[in-house]
Amino acid sequence: MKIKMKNYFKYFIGFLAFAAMMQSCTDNYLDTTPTSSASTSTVFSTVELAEGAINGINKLMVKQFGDDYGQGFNGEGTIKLYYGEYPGNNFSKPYMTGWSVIFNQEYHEQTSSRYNNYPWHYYYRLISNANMIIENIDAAEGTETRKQFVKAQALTFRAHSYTMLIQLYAQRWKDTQGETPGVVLRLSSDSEDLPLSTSKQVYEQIYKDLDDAIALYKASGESRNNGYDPDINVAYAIYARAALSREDYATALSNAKLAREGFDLMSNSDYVNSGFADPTSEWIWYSYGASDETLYYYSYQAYISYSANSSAGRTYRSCISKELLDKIPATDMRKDLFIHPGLWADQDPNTPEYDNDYFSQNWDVTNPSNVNQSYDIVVNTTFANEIRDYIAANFPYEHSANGYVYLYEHCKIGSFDAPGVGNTVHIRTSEMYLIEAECYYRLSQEENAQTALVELNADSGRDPNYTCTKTGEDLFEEIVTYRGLELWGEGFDWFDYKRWGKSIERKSIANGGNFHTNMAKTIGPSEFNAWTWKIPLAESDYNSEVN
Amino acid sequence: MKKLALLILCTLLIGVHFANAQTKNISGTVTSAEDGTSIPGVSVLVKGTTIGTITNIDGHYELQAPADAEILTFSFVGLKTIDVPIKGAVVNVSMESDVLGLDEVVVVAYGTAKREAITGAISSVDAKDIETRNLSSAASVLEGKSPGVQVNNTYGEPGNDPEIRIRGFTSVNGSNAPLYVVDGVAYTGRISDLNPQDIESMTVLKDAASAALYGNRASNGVIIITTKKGKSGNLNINGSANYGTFSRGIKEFDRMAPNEWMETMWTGYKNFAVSSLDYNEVDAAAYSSENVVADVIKRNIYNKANNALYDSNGKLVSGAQVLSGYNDLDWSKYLERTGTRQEYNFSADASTEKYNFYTSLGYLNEEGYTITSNIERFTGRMNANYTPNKWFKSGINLSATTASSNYADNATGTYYINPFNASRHMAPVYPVYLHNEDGSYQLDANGNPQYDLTSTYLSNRHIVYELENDMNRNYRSNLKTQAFVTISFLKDFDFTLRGDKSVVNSKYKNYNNPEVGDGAGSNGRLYNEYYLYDTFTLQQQLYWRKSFSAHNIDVLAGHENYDYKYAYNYTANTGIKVKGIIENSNFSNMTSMDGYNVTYKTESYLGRVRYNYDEKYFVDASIRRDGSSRFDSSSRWGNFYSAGASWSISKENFMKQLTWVNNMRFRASYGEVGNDAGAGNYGYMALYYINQNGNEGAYYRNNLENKDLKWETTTTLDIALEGRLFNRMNFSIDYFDKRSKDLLFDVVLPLSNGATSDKADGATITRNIGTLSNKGLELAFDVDVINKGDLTWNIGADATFLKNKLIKLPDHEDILNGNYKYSEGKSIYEFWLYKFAGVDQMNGDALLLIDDEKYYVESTNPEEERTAIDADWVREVNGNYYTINTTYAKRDWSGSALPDVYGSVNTGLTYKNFTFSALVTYSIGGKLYDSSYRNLMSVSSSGANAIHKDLANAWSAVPAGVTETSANRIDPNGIPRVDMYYSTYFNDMSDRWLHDASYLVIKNINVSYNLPKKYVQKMDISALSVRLGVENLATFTAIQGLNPQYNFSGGSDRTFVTARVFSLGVDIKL
Repeated sequence: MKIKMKNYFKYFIGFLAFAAMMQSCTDNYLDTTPTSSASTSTVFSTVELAEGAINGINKLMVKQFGDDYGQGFNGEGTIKLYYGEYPGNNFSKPYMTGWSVIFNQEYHEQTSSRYNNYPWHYYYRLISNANMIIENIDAAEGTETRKQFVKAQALTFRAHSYTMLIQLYAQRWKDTQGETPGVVLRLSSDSEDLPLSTSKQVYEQIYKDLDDAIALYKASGESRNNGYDPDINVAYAIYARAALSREDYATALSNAKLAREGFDLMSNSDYVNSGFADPTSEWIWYSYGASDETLYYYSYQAYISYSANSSAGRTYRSCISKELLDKIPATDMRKDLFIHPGLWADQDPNTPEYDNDYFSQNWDVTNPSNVNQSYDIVVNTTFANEIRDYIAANFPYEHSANGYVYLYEHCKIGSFDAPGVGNTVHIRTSEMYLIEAECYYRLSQEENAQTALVELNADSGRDPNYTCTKTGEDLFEEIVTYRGLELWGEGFDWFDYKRWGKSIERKSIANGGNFHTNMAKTIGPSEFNAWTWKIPLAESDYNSEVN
Repeated sequence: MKKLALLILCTLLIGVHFANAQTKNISGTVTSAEDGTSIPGVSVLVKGTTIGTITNIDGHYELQAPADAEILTFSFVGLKTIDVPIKGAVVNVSMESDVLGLDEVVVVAYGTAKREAITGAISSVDAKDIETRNLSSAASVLEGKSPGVQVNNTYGEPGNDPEIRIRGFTSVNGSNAPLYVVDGVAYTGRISDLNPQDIESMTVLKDAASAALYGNRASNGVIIITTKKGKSGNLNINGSANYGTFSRGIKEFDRMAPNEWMETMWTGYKNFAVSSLDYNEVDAAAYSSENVVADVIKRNIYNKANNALYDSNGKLVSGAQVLSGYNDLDWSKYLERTGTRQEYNFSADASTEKYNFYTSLGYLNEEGYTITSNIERFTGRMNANYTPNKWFKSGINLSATTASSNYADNATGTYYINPFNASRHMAPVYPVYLHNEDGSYQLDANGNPQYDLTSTYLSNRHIVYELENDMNRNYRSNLKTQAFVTISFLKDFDFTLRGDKSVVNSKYKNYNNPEVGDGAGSNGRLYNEYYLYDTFTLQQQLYWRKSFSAHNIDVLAGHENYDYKYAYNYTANTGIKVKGIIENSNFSNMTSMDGYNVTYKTESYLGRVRYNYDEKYFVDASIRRDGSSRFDSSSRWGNFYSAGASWSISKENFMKQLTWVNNMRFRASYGEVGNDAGAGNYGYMALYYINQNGNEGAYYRNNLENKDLKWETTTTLDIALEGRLFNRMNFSIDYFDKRSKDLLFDVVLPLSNGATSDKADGATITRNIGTLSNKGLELAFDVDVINKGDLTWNIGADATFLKNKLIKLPDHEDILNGNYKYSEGKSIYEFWLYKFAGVDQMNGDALLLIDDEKYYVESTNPEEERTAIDADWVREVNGNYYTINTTYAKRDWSGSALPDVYGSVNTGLTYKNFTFSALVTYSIGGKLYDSSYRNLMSVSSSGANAIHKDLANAWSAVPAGVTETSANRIDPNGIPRVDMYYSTYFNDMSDRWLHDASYLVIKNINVSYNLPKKYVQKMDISALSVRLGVENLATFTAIQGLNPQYNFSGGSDRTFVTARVFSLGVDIKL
């Protein structure tokens, strides 16, 4: 009996086991969902989520680019420094001799180099994200007006990206009138191989995107929530920039005026105390920066800010060209944002004190025991402390204690937290006035050009004594000078000189400038592939339509 | 019912009676043929019946056999099973160890099999191979132990697992690593979480047929690890202690000493002035003498002023010498050490008819050869099996490991705090400590030297200080539990239910001090990363076995589901409050946090049939259906199968006369297995990365959609002949043809499609493309050179010839992949590099061949579609044009990273109580791209770095006899002139940096001595042995400094190289 029972028990267990085996897992056992990412369909399910995709592009403009890039690669800030300032005419990091290849524009034809590759990587990343929004936003849930606004923002990003790409990777308009190959016009998420479009075609697309964006902004009646989001003023400003580099001055002029509506020039106090780290009245567009979204040593500010607590900031301080600064009158408050002898001099050269002043008596910069003659590094400790005291007394952020003190270093761009945290401005009203001045000049309305300069320089209070009566080439040079001063460090320098077809002329310290011998170069407009970055290998190797 | 009970009772009674009447008593002792000692636990069976017993602790047995019983079968794991005729009441037996191995039972997929029954290609190592090695990861033992298996065991960081490739490379995208199966279930932890001493056997399943039952992840082969069970009748207690040293096993590159280095730097800057500043030679020389120290070297440790060091030819002036106090210029002295290695193990096991158990405890403390690296590991295990009756069997395995290690977070590439980068590339004139003007140490108040923390040439950093004050610590615990129950029912059925749950907790704590380095900018920073891995496997298996006359058949049907997930959490804080407390609470700002989880699941149905006729002809077949969460529901399921046959030729009658053939069999198999490892967990979905900007959600694309993504499949054909000849030689010849199709592949799109990662060519999409083949031949033999009495000597060797080839690519088009290119007919690691033509001996320029498909110098065709090269980049030699810029240079095939043949040679010698063994591994052929050497051969004005001695042979003047028009004006083996301006061009990527990757490694040498029994018995223990071993005694390569086994693709890095471990150990058995 017992034996029999045992058998039943065994059969029972056997049956259970068999049942357990045959019972497969439920149908959706193998369905898993990611939690660090969201699917495309989720992102475009509602317009609110799609706004996060716009904010995603904002983030791409200010994030750490690791992997193949590394420290110093942070989105738009990298374009400003490595592509706008380092190779330009007015910016110097005298001690950073190892970077002379970048300062001297020698990587334009190094198609395997990350410096050649990065803007392409970065801007097409913005473009591909914008394309996804343009393609998918119409089907999202939400009000029509909000969708229009989001689409307009995506178009604005795309136009901005192409405007930058075309200036980097195509020859200047002046030389070619847009007839030579430009960049790949990728307007959808299809991955087919596409050839290079001509610069002209690219500018046409930029115009079209901006026309569409402006129409959509207007139709939507909506406005942005944050200064770091693109909006209609941003679209006008990009229009002005694109038209300026396309030498379409009338278009640039009208858009520059529209762009600055509602954004008055900032006060002298804001100029100094915002430290270009906090938004002011004239910031039309910027990227967000905060301690809890820090990029650590990757950030733009870690490389340029006078308060940066990074070795790139402390050891290799950013300086202005002495030659440029010498052109600026002592009455201009902007001049005092840079360490120069006049800060300790009696301001009136006609007084007898001028020749006997504190600075020229005690701080002879030609004396090697005061200043390192190769780099303009202040080696006299008392003198260095004097400069630090000046900065501490006049500027909101601390000059980082370790590292060097340089002559001609700036106190313009600061950072409100270590190692280099701050908002990064992209478009300011001041730039719009300078665009207007240049356009008026090109359109032969010299008086209007002078007025624009006076509005920027005198009416703003930056130099109350400023007047302008120059004409012709002198007037142009005046615009060049004030563009150089006003926008120093903000990434325009190289782009301007390329557009103008002007030679870069940097003088060594021995020749009256403040560039190290290795960077004291004259670079003519046709040198180094006519200032045109070649199409990177990462494109040409994989795109059968691009050589 | 009553009747039935009565009937059974009667039968039993009759049976007993019958037994009483018809039996004979047999007894005897079983001893070891090797040393004459008695062997407990040997199974003694009356042949053809189930009547049997096992020997007791003294090796003695007694049993009652049927009167007509003729033969007794004696068997024991590791010994040769023998049949002994019953001639009288006492049968004493001497058993030999099983050197043949063909009768041996091996662990295979979902069960065990006799070796002769296996139709696929497998090889195995057992506890003996593992116990004698001083390795923290058991997987390392496989190096040189199995043909076809490549083991890169050179990442000498304590606690690190080796990289293993079985029979080549089946996948282009990511993983070619084999699947580990521990005690029957897939294992996702680190192998170094297992105590090697707990491992009974490791079986490598090399081909599709043997691995097919692990179909879903088996395409790279399977390594089955089985832990120990209690196996002998009496209680066994083992203890062992090992003590040794742990040091760097490969020498560094040969680099210049300060004087030679200073002069080379001068030359580099002088040539810079010529090239970049357009100075003439004399002015350039003066410029360099005046400025090279201030501009480039930025530190002067000599007894002369910066600008008074050199003569006009760039030689150090007479009397110039390093100040006497600078004896701290070799950074490796401060970054490396000889660590100690200690390992202690204790285990106890026992076995009876109804249960067996194995328990163990292990402790490992290994100090790495960099100043901070170490691991401390505790392991514990309990394996118990219960067999209360004939129809029920169950078992439990529990294991727990905790390990804490200080690891080198940045031991790769050019990270500042990579100790290998620092010690290899630090300029030889940079001191570790602060010095006074006269060269003496600048001492602190306590009279101690002080680190040089504020030097701008070190970027205000100091790697020794940072390593000493920062922290990279990993705390890890691995808890694994497994249980199974097997029910036998009906006549021949078994049902097994097995569940396995494993939880791994891993916490990484990374701290940067507030004084110097990455934490200095934000007053100290702390990252904490937490991983929680959770794996669950459930298996149901149904077996049916049947034997009738000479037919033996068994069938398996099963179902399995696997669920792997991990949760990740991350916090970053800055601003340390109280120095020394490195916890979140002690930091003032939270700068970042992150957290997510990842899930991966598979589900499988499987079946297998095995049949043999008379244990002479064997066939088997299996089928499997798998689903993976890594694919869209529309293409989620894949079907895999295998079939194989084996023929024991030596059992045929016609072979009997060939007495010199002890054993021979032929086998062949074919099968197909799958791989989803290349797909990534959510690889088929279009994804947006979730970030934040302005404290609001910010999403950007990080994966492109491909719903058609499906299983990558690998088919293998395997044919082999193996056996034993002349009773002293084992051999095996194995041919395989492994073919992978629908390769999972990250196809690079033109970058204008928008990158989805931060890689320079980051616009990628995962697709199934192409077919890849690995064909090869594995040869292995071993021979007993001497085998008499006290002395045995065995030598063995193996060799694997492997040919890896891409068979098909989409549209037959080549695909570029960094320094490699995929092309039909070529291997997957085929270098595609710029072609270095040589050095122009007139001026020292490095010349590259021009890519004349895209560029031209002089056009003959007015409709030219190619682009002209700017004259700056062109050089003309004897009417031929070359370029110095890789942008215009031609790339071409430059050889493969894969060796032509690799394998091992081993030998073992036993004399009385001494044993000696040695293992050498080798690899011949293949190339390695040496980026470290490239760096050491370059000089830059952006920073001073160490320089390789070879640069002393750089071009410096036109050699005698060479003129503009000399035919040998270009020296193909030349070293271009040292020029800081052109260095990036002259030393750019090209085939110039390929080295021969062949190597020979003296992997392991072991000497041991077993104390003779008579002494051991006096000590009241059963065995005692002393062992001396060394791992990685020496590595021979083409150029000193090379790490030939860094990876399989011929790359290199500035990182841990192989470790040399000396060890002295004592093993005691109670």
